Amino acid sequence: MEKIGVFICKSCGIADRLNIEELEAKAQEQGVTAVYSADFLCSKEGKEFINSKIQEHGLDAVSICACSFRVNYDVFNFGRVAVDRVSLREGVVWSRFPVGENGEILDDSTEVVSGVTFKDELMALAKDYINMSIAKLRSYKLPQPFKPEEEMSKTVLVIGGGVAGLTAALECAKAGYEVVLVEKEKELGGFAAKMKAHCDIKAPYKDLVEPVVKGLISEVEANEKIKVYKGATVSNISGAPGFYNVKIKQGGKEEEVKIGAIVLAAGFKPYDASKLSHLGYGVVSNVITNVEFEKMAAEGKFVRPSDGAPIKSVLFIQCAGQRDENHLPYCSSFCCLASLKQAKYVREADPEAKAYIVYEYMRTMGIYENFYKTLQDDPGVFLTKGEVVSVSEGENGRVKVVVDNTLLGEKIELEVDVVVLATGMVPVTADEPVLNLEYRQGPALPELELFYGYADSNYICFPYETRRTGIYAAGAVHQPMTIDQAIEDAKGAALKAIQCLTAIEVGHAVHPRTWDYAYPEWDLKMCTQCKRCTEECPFGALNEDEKAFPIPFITRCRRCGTCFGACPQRIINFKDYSIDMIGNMIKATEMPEQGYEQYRFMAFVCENDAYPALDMIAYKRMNLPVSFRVIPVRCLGAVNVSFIKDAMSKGYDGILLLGCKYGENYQCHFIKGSELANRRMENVQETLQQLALEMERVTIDTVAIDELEKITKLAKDFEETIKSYGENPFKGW
Amino acid sequence: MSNEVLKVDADLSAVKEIQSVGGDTVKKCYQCATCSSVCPLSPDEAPFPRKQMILAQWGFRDRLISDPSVWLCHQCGDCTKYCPRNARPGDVLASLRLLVTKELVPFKFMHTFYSHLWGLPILILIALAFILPVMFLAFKGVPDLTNPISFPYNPEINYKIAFMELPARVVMIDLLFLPLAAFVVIIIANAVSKMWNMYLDYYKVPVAYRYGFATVIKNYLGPAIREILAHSRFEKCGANSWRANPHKMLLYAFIILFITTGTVFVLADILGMHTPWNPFTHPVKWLGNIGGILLLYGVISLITGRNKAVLENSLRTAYPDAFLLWLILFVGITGFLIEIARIVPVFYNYVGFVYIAHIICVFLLFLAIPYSKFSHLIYRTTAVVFDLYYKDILKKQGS
Repeated sequence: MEKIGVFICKSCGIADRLNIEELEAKAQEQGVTAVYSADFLCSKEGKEFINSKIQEHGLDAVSICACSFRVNYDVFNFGRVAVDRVSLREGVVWSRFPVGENGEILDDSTEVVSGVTFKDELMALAKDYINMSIAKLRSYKLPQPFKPEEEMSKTVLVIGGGVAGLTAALECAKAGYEVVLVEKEKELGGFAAKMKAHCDIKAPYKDLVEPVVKGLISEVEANEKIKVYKGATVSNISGAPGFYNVKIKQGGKEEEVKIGAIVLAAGFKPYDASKLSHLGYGVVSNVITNVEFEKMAAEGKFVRPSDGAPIKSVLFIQCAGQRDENHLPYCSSFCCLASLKQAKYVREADPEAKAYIVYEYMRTMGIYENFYKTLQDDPGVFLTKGEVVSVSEGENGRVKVVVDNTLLGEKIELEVDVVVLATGMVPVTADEPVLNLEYRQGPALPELELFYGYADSNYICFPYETRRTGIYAAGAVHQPMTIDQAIEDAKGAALKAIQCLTAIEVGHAVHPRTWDYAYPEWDLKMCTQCKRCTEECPFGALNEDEKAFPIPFITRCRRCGTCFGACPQRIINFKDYSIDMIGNMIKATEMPEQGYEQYRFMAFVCENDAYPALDMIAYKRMNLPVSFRVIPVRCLGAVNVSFIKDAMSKGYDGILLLGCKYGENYQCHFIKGSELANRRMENVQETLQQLALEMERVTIDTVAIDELEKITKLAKDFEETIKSYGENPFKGW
Repeated sequence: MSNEVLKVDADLSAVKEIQSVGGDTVKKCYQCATCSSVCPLSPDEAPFPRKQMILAQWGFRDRLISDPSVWLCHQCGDCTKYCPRNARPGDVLASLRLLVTKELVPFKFMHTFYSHLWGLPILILIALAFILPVMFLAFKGVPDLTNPISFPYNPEINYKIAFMELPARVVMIDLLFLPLAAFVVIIIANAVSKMWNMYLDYYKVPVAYRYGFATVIKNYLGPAIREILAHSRFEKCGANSWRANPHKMLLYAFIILFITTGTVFVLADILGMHTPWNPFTHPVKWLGNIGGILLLYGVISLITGRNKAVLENSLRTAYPDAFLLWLILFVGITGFLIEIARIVPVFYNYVGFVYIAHIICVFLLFLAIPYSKFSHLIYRTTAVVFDLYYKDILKKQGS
C-alpha cells in the first residue's frame, strides 16, 4: 500500500498514559502520508473524520491506533481501504503497569532502571506497535475473492438414508437446493424403519410413537428436488467443495455427478455381540441383543426364542460392551432408552410380566429423563445399579443371572425367561472410509481414532465440522445419539452444507474465518517438492502431482496458514499475510542497545483463544510485562521458523508462542496448528543450542481462552527465566 | 460384599399393594440417598430409608418384615420434603408399615378391610356380628334400646359368678372384650416373636448375644418405654415436629384410659363396686375424664395438624391414616356422649344407642391393633427395644 494514514485515538485512557504528540512524530518519521489524532475515533464524528481524511489524501490504507481488532471491527470498515488496527488501549495502556514489590501499581514516572522511567518503556512499546502497523500496511495487498472459472455445483450429496440422512435431504430441498441421496440398503429408513416404536420426539417426551422415519421416507420420495439412489454406494469423491465429482455405484453401473457439499449420515452398526460371550451371548439360550429383541417386538413375537414359551420376565443388561475398554470405551447414549422402551413392550404385552434393568449408569439423554421417570413408575419395571457377575442356563429354559454390588446391598440371583443385552453403536466410519475421497491424505476422514471411529470433531464451537471442508457429519456416524438428536443434528449439518455453498459462491473462506477473502498462493518456481504443505495441511486441502508438486484446492482450505508456516522455501503467502510482512514488522521495532538492561520479548499469539485472553487481561487491568511485543497470528501453525530467526537476529531476548491445547482433547481451532508449531520449535531449539543459546529463549505454551492468570504468570516467569540468562548476545549485530 | 447370593423374584403384587395403601410414589425413587442423609433418626450403622425404598420397589416382603428401620421411622417428613423426585419416602415407609403389619398376622383379609374405605361397613357388620349375639345372650333376649332401663342399665338381670355379682352389661362387656383382648394378645405376641427372630437373623446377631425373652425385657424394655414416654425420637423430627406433642398427649391419654379401665375392672367386676359412678365426685371418673379430654385434644390436634402438613406437602393422609384418627376421635366422642346422655335428662333415652356405638368403636379399635396402623403401638416399641439391644451388643462386641 502506498498512501498510508495513521489515526491515533486519545480516548479510553490512551492520552492519559501516552504522549500523543510523540507518537504522531514517530509515525511522521516513517514517512506516511498523513498522521492525525482525535478523541473517540469510534464515534460517528470520529469515523466521519477518518473518512474525510481518506478522501482528502486519497489514502489506500489506514492504521487505526485505538482499540483491539477484536472490537469495533464493524466501525473501522472503510470499504476497499486496507485497515490495520493498533491496540493501544488493550495492548498498551490497559494491560501494562509498573508493579511494585508487593504487587501494588506504581506511578508511570517510576524509574525501572536508572534514567529510564516506566513511561519511557510504555512509549517505546506504543511506538513499536505503530511502526509495526506501518510496516505491515506497506507489505499489504488487498485480497480478491476466490473465483475459479469452472462453474460450481450447488447440489448437496447426502450419504445415508436413515433418519439423519432423510432429514438432511429434506432440509436442503426445502431451502431450495438439489439433493442427491445415496442409500446402501435396498430401502430407505435405516434402523429406525425396522423398529416397533421409539420414544416420542416432542414434549413431553414420555410416550412411544410409531417410527417417524416412515413419514420422512414418503416425504423424500415425493420430493422432486431429491434424487434417491437405493442399493448404491459412493465409490469415489474427487475435487473440492463446490466442485466435487462424485461417482455413485448402483448395481453394476457407475454414475458421476457434480456436487457442491456433502452430508455424511451413514449411521451405525450394532456392536458385534459374539464378542459378548461373557454375558452369555451365543452360549446361553434365550440371551439376545436389543436389536434382535426389537425385531421380535416389531413382529409381535413376545416368546422365548428357544421354545416359543411366552415371555414372563426379561432382564436387560445395560452397557453390554459399552464403557468397557475391551469393547466400546464410550457410552452409546441410546441403549438405556432402548431398554426402557423394550421394558414397556414387555409390560404392555403382559401386565403380569416383569422387566428388570441392571445398569451401571442409567443415562437417558436430555429431556428423555421424562421417559425414564414414566417407566420407573411402572410397578413391573425393576431397576438396579449393579455388576453382572454371570449369565448361565437356569431351570426350564430360563436364564440365571447373578448381579453383584446392587442397590439392594446384596449379591442377587435372578431367573428370567429372556436376557436382552443392550449393545451399543459402532459408526460405519470405524470400519470403512465410506467417502472414498481422492485426497492426498487418504480416502477417509483423518484420525477418527480420536473419536472411536466417529466422524466427530473436538470443536466445541463447531460441532459439525469434519476435517474435510464441505463435508458435514450428522446422526449416529457423527456421535452416538437418539432419533430426536439425529433429526436436530441433520438439520444443523444441512445448514452447514448450505452455508458452505454460499461461502464458495461469494468467494471467502468457508470456515471458521468466514470474513477472509485472502487465500494461500504458491510460487511454485521455488518449490523443492518437500511435501510439507501437502502432508501437514490439517484439512487435506492439497493434492500432489506425480512430481510431488502441491495442487491446492482453495475451497477445501480454511486459511489457517499451516502450509505457510511449514514451507522452508517461504513460497506460500496470502495477499494480506506474508512472510515478508511479518519480517518487516519485526524489523520495524526499535531494539535498545546491548546493556540497556531493558529486555525485549516477542510473543506470537494465536488469534483464536490466546489473543482474546490477552484482551480480557486488559479488561481486567491485569498486568503483562511491558517488555513483550505481541504479534497476533491466525494459528501457531502459521508461524514460520523465519519469524523466529528474524526476531532473534533483531536482538529479541526471548520468543514466546501462545496457542491452543493440542493432542487428545485438542482445542486448536485448526486442529494441528499448535501441535505442528511445537514440533517445529523443537527443531528451532536445536539450532539455538548449536549457537550456544539457551533453549528456553524460544518457548511454546498452550492456554485456554479463560486462563488469564496462567498467561500473566507465564509471561512473568518467562521474563524472569530469560533475565537470568542475560541479554541476547546477538543484540545490536 | 458377602458371597451369599440372594435369590430374587420381584413381587409385583407387593409393589401394587404398597402403592394402594399410600405408597404410590415408591417407584419414583432413584436412590440418591438424600433421604437417608437428611433423616434425623437414621442410624449410621443401618441408615434408612434409601434402602427400604428399593426393597419396596422390588416388592421384598420378607426383607421389609425383618427390618426394624421401617418402624424406627416416625414419619417426620424431612425425607419427603427434601426428596428431589417427590418419591415421598416418609409416606412410603408408612405404607410399608401397613404391609409389614399385614404380613405378620393371620386373617389378612381383616387388614384389607381396615385399609380401604369400602371395608368400613364390613368392619361395622363384623363388630355387630359379635356384639349383638353377646348382647342378646347377656340381656336374655332383645332389649329395648330406646329405654335405658332395658338397655344398658337393666337392673333386673344380674349374674352371680363365684363371689362376684355382675349386671348384664358388665357380663356383655366382659364376654366381648376379654376374648377379643386375648385374641389380640395372642396374635400380636406371635407376631412380635416372629419379628424379633427375623431381626436377629437380618442383623446376623451371633448366637452368644441372642438373649432370652426375660433378659431382653429386663434390660431394654424399660429404657425403650422411658424413651417412648418422653417421645425423644419423635422430637428429633424436623418437618412435622408439630406432631410430637399431640401424639405424646394421645399416648398419655391411652395410658390413663387403660389405667382407668383396669381400675374399673377390678373395682366393679371383681370387687362389685358397680358403675355408674358420679362423675363429679368419683376420683376414677376424674381420671377417666382427664384421659378422655387428653384423647380428644391429642386426636383433634393430630387431625388438624395433618391437614396443615398435607397443604405444606410434608405429609400425605392416606385412608388408613385418616381411618385410625377418626376411629379414635369417635371412641372419645361416643365415650363422652354416654356420660352426657346419662346426666342430661333430655338425652337420657338415647343412651342405649350411644352405648352400642361406643362399643362398636372400641371393638374396632381393639381389633385395629393387629390389623391397622394402630399396630405401631406394639411394633414400633419392639423395634425401639431391638434398636437399643442391637446398639448395646454392637458396643459389647466392639469392646
